[in-house]
Amino acid sequence: MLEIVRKFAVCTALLLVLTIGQGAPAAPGQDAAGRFVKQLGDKAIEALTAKGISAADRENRFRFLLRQSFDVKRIGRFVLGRYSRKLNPALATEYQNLFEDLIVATYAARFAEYSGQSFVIKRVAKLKGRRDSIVLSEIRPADGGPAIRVDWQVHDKNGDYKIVDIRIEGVSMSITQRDEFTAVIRKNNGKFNSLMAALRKKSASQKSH
Amino acid sequence: MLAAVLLLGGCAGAPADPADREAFYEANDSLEPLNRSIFEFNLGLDRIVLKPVATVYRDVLPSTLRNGIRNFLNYIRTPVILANNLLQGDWAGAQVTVARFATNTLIGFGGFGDPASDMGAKFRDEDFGQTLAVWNAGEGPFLMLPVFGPSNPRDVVGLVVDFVIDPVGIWASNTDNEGVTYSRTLLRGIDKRSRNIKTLDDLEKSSLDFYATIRSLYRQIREDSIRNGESQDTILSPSLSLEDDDDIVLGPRAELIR
Repeated sequence: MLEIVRKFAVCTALLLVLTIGQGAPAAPGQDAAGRFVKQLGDKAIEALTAKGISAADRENRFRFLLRQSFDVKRIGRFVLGRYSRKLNPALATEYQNLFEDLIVATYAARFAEYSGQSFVIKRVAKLKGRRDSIVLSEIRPADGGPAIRVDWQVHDKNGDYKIVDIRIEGVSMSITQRDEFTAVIRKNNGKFNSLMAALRKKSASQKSH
Repeated sequence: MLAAVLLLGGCAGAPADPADREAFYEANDSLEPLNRSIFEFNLGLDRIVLKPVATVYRDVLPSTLRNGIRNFLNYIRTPVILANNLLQGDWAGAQVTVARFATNTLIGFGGFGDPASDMGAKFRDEDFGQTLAVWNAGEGPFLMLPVFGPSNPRDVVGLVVDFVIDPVGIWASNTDNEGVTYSRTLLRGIDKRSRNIKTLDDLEKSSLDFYATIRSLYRQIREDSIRNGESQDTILSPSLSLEDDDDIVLGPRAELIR
């Protein structure tokens, strides 16, 4: 009986090795887009999780990094989708500012919950015939819990890298935001101003505290 | 009959404006008014029952016990996962499922531990909804189910099939142990909710339209599960790369001028 259990255990271990061995991770790419994302991640962790910084400080630092490393304008337009054609220049500027405020309000505070996670680049996938790369990375909790998959879509503007999307466990932040904005406009019979009103309200409530 | 009335009542016609019409078809939510009411109902239920229970569960039980419970819930799902691995023709996935089961049975305290994960064989759920997707069945319009939450016809069928083929469930009903099935479903819900308290709170706070956010997330998460989280690099956020705009067209155009 014991012999059977032992054999079974050995077989299991073998099976495990066989199945897992196939998916061995490739060496992290030395690609420039990968380095860009890695540097940004390290910078963000250093600047935004520093002990004793106030929430306002964190937001300012976050905004700085956002402007430096993300193509906020492009994301803002993408998020509006087909409705971006309905914008006049004055409204477009106001929209872009409010959109940036929304990103800051949504994401800056999350860095306050940082608890020693490490940030690892897995590999970089170049997209044929496109100026975009996808940088696949992982955020690993310090306690050894399951890692979180994070993919960065990086646009290469003549060597100047800008992030245009982040996908967390397969969920695109840009697409989620676009679906939501579209829903707000549609809910109000296609009135673009309803979205602007909602964004203004959100931005004002954020600034009041 | 009731279903037909609900269907008709909930059906909103496509709008005339081209931008609105595109948005309408993209949302693929012809029952939106009804779905939104059910969502409100679910939120209310969550606020008074599920969230408080999940919060107590999280705060009172030590994390070791909670992880053990979750591991065991995953463990007894093995037959359903394996069946779906095989139905999807995913032989490698089936091997992982079997190896995980054997490992966690032998050295994982009968499924309460998950040493297989530490050895690299991570838990990956499969269900018949995903199998149907692999078989190229369409998802159909978005559905908000009472209590069960976001879904679509394909996933509803999946839910039913998984329930029917599950040997643990069959055993329970054959031996008058329906309680096992109920408590298992309940526990699964509480476990899931207890791990998303902060995430959902943040999401509700930051979103302009919580319903639309949940709808979008559900679809994206399901798509990711169907692809088993793979081939991310071949999928671009569509218009981010295809939709030309000034600064992007500038590059090639400048070259043309030269």
